[in-house]
Amino acid sequence: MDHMLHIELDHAEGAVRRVLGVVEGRGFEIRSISMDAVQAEAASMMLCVHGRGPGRDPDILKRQIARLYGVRRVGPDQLATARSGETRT
Amino acid sequence: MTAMPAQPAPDVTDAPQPAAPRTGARLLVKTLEGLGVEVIFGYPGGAIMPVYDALPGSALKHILVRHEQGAAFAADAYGRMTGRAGVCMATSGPGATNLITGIANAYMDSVPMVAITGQVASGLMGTDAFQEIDIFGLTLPVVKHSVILRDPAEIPEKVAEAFRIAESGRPGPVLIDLPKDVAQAEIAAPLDHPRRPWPKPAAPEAASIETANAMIARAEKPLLYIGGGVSRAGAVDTLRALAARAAIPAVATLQGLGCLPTEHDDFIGMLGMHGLKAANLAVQESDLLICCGARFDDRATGQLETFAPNASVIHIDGDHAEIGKLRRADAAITGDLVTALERLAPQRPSIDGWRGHVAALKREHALSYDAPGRGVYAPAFLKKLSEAAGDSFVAACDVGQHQMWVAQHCRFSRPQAHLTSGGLGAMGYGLPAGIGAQMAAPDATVVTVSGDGSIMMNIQELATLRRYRTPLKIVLLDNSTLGLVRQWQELFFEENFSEVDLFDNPDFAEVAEAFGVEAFTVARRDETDAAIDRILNTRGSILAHVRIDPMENVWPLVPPGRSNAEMMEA
Ligand SMILES: Cc1ncc(C[n+]2csc(CCOP(=O)(O)OP(=O)(O)O)c2C)c(N)n1
Ligand SMILES: [Mg+2]
Repeated sequence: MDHMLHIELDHAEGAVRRVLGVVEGRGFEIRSISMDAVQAEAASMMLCVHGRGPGRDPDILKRQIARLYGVRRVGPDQLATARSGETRT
Repeated sequence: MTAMPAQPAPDVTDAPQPAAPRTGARLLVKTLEGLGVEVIFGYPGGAIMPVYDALPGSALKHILVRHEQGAAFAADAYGRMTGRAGVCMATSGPGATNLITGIANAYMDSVPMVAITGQVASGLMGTDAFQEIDIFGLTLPVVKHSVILRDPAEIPEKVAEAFRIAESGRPGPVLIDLPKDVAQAEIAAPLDHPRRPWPKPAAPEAASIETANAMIARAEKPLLYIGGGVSRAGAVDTLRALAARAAIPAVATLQGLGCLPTEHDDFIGMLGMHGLKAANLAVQESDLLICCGARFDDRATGQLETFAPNASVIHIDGDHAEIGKLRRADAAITGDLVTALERLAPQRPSIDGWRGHVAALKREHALSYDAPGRGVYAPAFLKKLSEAAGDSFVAACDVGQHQMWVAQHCRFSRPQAHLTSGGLGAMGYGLPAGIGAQMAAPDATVVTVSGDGSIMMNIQELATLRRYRTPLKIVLLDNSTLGLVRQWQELFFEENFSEVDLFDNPDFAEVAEAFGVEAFTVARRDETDAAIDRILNTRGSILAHVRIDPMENVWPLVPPGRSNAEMMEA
């Protein structure tokens, strides 16, 4: 199943690599990706991810991303669902 | 899991200091001094030379290792001993890549560390310059955080932040990459960096603790499952108080050993692949696992689906992301571990029958030391050594059979008594870790327990030992083989012994002596007591080269992929 993730993060050097590394490293494939620099120091990423094989829990992935230093928020939220056009968690 | 700093460093936030222009490198050194850093393990080279230029005359004691991997392992052990980030430093390119195994080791075992690497000048980054390696990218999966210092003015703030991240919450390694031009730039930046104690982690939710306490009150066969998170959170005393109050039987992971002293009445032993049979059986029978700072690692659980099949789980961890990762938690308590353990089990559950049963299991499956033969029996040797050394004993292990024997047979008075590469299982850890530990705790009886395979992975650090006159003791258990691999080939690969024979090892006592380290060889069991006496009564460093039977195995053992209920025995 595809899962949408909406991630708000400090727009610091390496921040994007760090998030994508966790997604891939924790066993998820990235199906689509978009990113806006919302303000000068904050960025907003939208990812559609898909677990490689069974047992990959997107809820745990979210917490693994959320614990990264510089990540402000992880979730599906209004923005994520509006952009993806459907609600998937 | 929060590292509680052993001693608060002097407060350096008071008066704004006059901002005389200085180089970025000098600013870094000043910042480290201000943060209370005392020791740096490192090795110089081109891109980091500005920092080495700023070192002489500083309050930092630099320990020159002989391989950067040794610096990272030593810093790791320093971090485990003190709860404060151990610091290692290397140049760009090969110096930086040589640190990676040690950084990964700290990451896997949640050890506070700050690794500083030189980098080529900013303008050259991305051009494949001489000794340019993207160490920031290479280490991303094995650091808690990392930063490239782009602006000399931000050095004090970013470096202080690196220490805060490394030491607070669930500790881990933080990499600081310093381009050479930033290190050389002249800057008039004020020194301003808030220092320890770091902010406390959030208190756990009262409701989750109530749920857990209700589960404990109902349970008939509760068990504490203790992991490394307890000591990383500075919660050892709290856990001991809980154990005294609640009298619930306990097992520990490799990293959790020592949280309860080995001889504690309610402590059964290590669980898992090379755990005690009684510990594994108790877990399998228990109806409530109270997991304190452990992460259901496969070496502890065996086949996950069959692990503790009758148990509900209370999972207590400082790291929210661990909850439910491998085993569903029926109750989860996240946040400050100290507060959580303080509030857990206010009343002693009435479980006398279960305690009696566990005590009987422990007696029935006690380890025995009456091995046949006249050669040195390593388990007995290690047990005696740890008991003779007493509460000041610290084992710094390498990886292999000898490592498992240490975990199974040594007496640990505290978690810092057992430094072992658990998550990564990195051969080569033992010798540099012993050096780092001894420097962190000069009065401790630090003993590196190594194997003939492992010691060769960082044998060059004997030179470091000699240079600093570090009084580290080394017990080298020499079975002329990569014993643990040989054991697996014997048991699980139809005795197809492939590339494990180390018959042509050098004479290790001679090697040590060539480095200027006193050494002797032990080969007979009746020499055990004299050897232990000599090791413990030597003031300086000494290497005991202990020859043991190559065919000796580690027992008991859960075969890979099998249930912990199915332990093989000798
Ligand atoms: C760096 C590294 N390489 C390979 C291994 C795989 N490995 C695990 S134990 C072991 C044998 C260790 O031999 P030795 O140090 O002599 O210890 P013994 O098992 O004989 O006590 C090997 C090769 C490892 N853990 N680490
Ligand atoms: Mg060996």
